[in-house]
Amino acid sequence: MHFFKALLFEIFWMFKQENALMTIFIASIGYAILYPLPYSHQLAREVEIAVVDPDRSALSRAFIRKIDASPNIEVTRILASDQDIEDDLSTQNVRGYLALPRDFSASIYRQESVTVTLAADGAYYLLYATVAEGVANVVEDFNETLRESLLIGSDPALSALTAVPYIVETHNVFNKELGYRNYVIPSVFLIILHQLALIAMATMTWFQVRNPEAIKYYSGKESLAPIARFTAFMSVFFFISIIYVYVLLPLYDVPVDTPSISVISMLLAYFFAVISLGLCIGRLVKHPQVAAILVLLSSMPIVFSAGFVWPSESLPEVWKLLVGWIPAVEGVKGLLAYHVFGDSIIDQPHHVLRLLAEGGVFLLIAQWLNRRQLNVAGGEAKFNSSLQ
Amino acid sequence: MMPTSSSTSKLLWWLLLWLPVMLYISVGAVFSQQTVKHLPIAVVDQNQSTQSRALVRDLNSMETLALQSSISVKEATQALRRSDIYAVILIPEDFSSDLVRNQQPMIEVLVNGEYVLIAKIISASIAQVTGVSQAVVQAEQTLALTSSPTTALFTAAPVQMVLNPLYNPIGNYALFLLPGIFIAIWQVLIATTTSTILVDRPEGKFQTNESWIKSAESLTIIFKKIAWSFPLLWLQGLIALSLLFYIFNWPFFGSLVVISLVALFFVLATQALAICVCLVFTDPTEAISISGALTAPSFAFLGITFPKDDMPWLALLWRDLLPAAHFSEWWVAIASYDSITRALTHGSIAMILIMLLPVVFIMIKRGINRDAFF
Repeated sequence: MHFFKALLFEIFWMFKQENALMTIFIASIGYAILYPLPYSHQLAREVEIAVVDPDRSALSRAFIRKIDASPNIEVTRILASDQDIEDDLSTQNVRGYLALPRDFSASIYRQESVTVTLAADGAYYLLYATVAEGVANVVEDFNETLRESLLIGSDPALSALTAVPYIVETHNVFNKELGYRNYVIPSVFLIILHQLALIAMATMTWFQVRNPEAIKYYSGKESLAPIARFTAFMSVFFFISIIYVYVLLPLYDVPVDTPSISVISMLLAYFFAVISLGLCIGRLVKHPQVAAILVLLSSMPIVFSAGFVWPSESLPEVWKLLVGWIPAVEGVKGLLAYHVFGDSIIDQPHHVLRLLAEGGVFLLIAQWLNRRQLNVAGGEAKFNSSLQ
Repeated sequence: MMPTSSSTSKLLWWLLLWLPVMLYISVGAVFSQQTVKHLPIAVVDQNQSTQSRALVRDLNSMETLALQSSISVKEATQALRRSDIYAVILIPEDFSSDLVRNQQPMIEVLVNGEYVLIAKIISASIAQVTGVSQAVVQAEQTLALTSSPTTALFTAAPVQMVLNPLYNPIGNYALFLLPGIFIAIWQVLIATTTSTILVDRPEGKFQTNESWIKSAESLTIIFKKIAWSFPLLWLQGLIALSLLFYIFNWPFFGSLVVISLVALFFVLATQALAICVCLVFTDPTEAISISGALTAPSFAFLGITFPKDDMPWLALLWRDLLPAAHFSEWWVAIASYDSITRALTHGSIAMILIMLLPVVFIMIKRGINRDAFF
């Protein structure tokens, strides 16, 4: 009964303490709206490019029409030479240009290979890759058509070879169209909740030991305070994460699995680890604004160490060992495994086990920090009383 | 040395020196390999012929890929699900015999599309290998029939494509991410540091935070604080920038002096945002957290990873409020295109408006509290 009342007391303070209210509730709503905003179109389509066509033949025009028909590309300018192309690139009117040789049609009719050069803005990787993929596909189709129309007539024996010797069919699994939102949002959502829980738990841990009302409330039952606070944070963040994962992700059209024991146990283990770490930070910092600054600034390194943008295989081994202790890193792997790739906790329990182990270690550290603080406080008190 | 209270000046040392050092070291560590190498993929070679083994050898020679040979399709797809590998290549059992009979066998490639950027790199690498291999096989087949090398070559690929990544000569993946990351981190540092300085109010003079903001004197104090802090924040970024240039060997086509000069506006605009936050939120911890929280998710809005032309209007509106977004435009204009005119014609007005925002906020504050002043 005591415990239950203390739990409600802690949840009440999450609303009463303005910082906690902002971090837990307002920020989790704000970020859920703000973060997916840029990606609502999912894909880059119809990237604008120029074509340099000094040949100006029927064949080159047919080729350009095919390029323009690609969903990836829109040909906005056709030029006779590449003289003024730099200006168009630097004003971003076009993101690249495809240069055809002067003897494009003549060479092909002589049955000699020709080379087309695609120069595209490498400072924007997604646009670059979209244009490159589009041109490569068109070139492949165009080659097939050329072989059929040019070779069949010339030599009957060759006609059997008009098609490519073997087909390569690529399927993207788990995210068919390589949609950007599907890729960024699940992982980033989990990292957002990680950061908010860390800041809020650290702030409340710091605040409640100095809050006269909390001191009065817990007098005589001090040991109850951290347990009640821990449970309150676990419940609230678990609830928010369930909304993020099972309401918001489907709302944003991110393809995910139906609710499963694996995901739910993963989220519980995740917040166990995160909130334990928040408890450590709260006991370590001299002021909660330090915790907020530290956590906010660590966001970028965490995003790029979590393995969904920059591959884990390309991280230095020492760094991998270090960031392995940030719950977000294992959490992102776990969420993707159980929620997007449809793995189960029975086959792959190690994500959950790892998070539980991290949480356990953080709790031990928090306990040690608490004892040290008490010792220091006790020592100071003894010292002061000996002076009097 | 700094005109602040002792606890704040300790925190300031952290914000100006130690935290950025730690941050840039960690970013440097993450991208130390610079290019993406040895991405694990599996090949299930059910054919085990000379032709299929030649293809596997070619795949193996790609630096971006690290091949694991799997025995069964089931094993490979399981590994794909577990993220142990990023892609599976399935070579069918009758690959070589179908090739000989011109039956067009099909190689299936499954790529984990959830990791979009990694998937793009893998698909491009595989396409590069199979493209060449298809051409070679076709040339061999044609040569057997025509004995004319030109025809053979032509049949293989009448039109060939050469790729030329502009402004990023080696197609370095880290190089395209790093400027954006650097600008985003610098912005959060400027915003949180400025708020930390601004919320440090002269002790004893003002009873409450509210009275401090409303005081006529506070304007001069804000001005003085910005005057001594902005050169420090500017220098902080420039030092980090020079180090990153040196370590990562950034391709830079423009002038570093110009970048340093326009960075002044970026620092001031970001500080202006922080002033607005401090005017609205009077509690110190809240003001610092909020200026950090507002600037922290900027990276996604810069338009470097996901193009801004494909963002909806609401995202663009938010983007307009972020000094980092305009600075990253300037950055690209100067670093890639070496075009100062483009830099100046893009986002300058927005940047000036951001710098004027605090004036509006102060006027509103004063207006509301007119009775208290006049």
